Amino acid sequence: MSPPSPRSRCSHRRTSTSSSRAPSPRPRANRSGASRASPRGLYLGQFDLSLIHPHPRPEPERREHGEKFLAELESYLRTVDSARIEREARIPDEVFQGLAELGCFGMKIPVEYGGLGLGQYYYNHALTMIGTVNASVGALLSAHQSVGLPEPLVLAGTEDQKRQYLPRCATGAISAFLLTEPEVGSDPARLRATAVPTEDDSEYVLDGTKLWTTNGVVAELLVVMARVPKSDGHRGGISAFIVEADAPGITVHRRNAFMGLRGIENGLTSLRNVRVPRENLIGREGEGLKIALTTLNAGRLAIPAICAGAGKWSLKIAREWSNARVQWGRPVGEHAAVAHKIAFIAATTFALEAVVDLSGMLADEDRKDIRIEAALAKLWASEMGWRIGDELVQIRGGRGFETAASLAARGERAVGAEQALRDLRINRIFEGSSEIMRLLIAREAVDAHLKAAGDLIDPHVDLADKLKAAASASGFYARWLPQLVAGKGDLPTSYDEFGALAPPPALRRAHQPQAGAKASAYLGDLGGLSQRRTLQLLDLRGTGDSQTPMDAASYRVDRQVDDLEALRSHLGLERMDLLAHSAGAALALLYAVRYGDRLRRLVLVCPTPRDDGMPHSKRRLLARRASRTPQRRPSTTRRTRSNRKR
Amino acid sequence: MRSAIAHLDVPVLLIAGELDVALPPRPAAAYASLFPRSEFAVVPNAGHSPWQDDPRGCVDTIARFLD
Repeated sequence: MSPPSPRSRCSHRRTSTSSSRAPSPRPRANRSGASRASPRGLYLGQFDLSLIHPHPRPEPERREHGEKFLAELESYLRTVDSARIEREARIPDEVFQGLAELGCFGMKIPVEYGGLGLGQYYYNHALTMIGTVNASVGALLSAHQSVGLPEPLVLAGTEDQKRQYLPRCATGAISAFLLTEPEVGSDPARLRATAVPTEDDSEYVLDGTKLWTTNGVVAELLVVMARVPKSDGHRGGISAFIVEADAPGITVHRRNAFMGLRGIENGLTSLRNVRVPRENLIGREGEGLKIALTTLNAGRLAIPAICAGAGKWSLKIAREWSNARVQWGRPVGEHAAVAHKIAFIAATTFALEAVVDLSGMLADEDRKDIRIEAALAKLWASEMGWRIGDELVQIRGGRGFETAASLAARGERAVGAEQALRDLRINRIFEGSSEIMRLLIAREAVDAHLKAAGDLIDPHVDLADKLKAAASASGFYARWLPQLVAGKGDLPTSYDEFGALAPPPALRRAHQPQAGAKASAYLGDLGGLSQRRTLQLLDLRGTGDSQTPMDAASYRVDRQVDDLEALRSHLGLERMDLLAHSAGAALALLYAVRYGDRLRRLVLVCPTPRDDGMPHSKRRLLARRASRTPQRRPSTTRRTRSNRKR
Repeated sequence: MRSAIAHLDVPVLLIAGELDVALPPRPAAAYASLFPRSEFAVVPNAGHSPWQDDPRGCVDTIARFLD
């Protein structure tokens, strides 16, 4: 199955992504022949366990390298004065210096180009750690590396461009990504900036205005998105250019001020007759959006990483304050209302970190297109980060609403809970707003079906084309539907390596919730028997599909007989005991007939099968369906139904 | 099925509930007699789920059979 074509357009840090149709940039994983995106597989009913099992882990040498760097970073970050960054609304020069010396500007840049070559996993960890100290520093580094010049160059740059610019980026030449314009946010395809080739084709002349240029105020290098007009020898379209920030014609008009992330250098930049050499085009003309989008696929993971950091910090503050603050004679953390908030922060932070780690490893392995994973992670992390910040402010009460500087001025501990909340707010807006993320994710869910059958429901398609669409759609569904009922999960020996956690389907079905009430009754009251490894078969009617338990499709006795046999060998029993109740006897009898020599003893408790192995109630149902007249349900059936509901 | 069961060389225990309307004791006894090697037990005052009506008696009967 080929990877889906990405359907979103994206923009830089300060903007969001739309889901309008764009030419399909090949996701990164695609180039290395990697397999499909797994969430798409899930939408199609295909569970790809290889994503999480075996759980990806960093290779040993990468691990050693990464851990060493994180230790250095941690000791450096202890010297960073976060309060000063907030107070002065800028990151001090010595912090830039210190970060550059550690190599923080080249964490993801490959070693051969002067970077640390950490990979997404350790880059994420570094951002998480930075996120516990100051969100503006996190934004500085991620705007530079996740969406600034390094990532597009690694993805689509020529060898010359990489050699020329990556070492500069790695040593601290800050870069910024200029896509958003005053009129263009979530729909960057409409951007107005132009790049007109000169007569001799040696240069492009750039004109336009760019807004919310994170790092743009201090950057040395800019990635500028501009539209090349179509002409002879020029395919035209939105294209990406490397621009020196001190090139004539570039003016930073002002530095913007925001609710949070006060330390970021983000401004309004105009380009007037800026001449850029032809060699500075990244990729080809018209590939700008594709490059931006692909960059953001992994680039978005910076946000969950920073949110995980904010969560860790919030947990620490919440814990400490809830122990120190006493009301009604007890630390407030012992009052349930506050305890719940702490539990929420702790659990969510744990989950955030797990999501960040897994997504980072998947990105590093480069075997999957992680577009949707990253979108899921970005959406969820930014929303949860905000809730965590909000709960922390609530736990801190009036002190949560008060600034750290004010707290310090009256002699209390300087804890900027309100700052954390303000800093976290932007995560729901930039790098693809939550709304755009939802569109992107939902689009993925229906995309395969729209492709297969979209013309059928499109009112603008005429009948002939609808017939054509119907033919191709039935081809798709003829291949797809059988997978739903005969997937790997239905094979008796699949997932064997999980032992007792993944019993064969017969037992799994027996433990489905609708059979739960009965299962516990058996396993509880007959606990002594279960230790004898007597296999207990529940009422068959409780083991099929819960909605249509009596349907022929779910009445798959024949297959369950083979499941049972697989279960016997799975349990390592030479001969087994079977205990069956009610309609479960049908299965037990079929098993006994087919595999009698593997059966030691058979117990039938109130069996209800007929000679043909079909339960009475099945027969009644079929009869009722045939006559189509409602009948009073016999009492046994009614009881079974109510049992199932319980 | 009937003929296949008639040749089943496996000890079978059939437990019926005295008050089970799905399979009352008499047809249950007939059912049990279809098996060449069968035992038959009726749990008194029990319905379709006899282990709930008489846990001890039920388990004892089954345990004795399985030992």
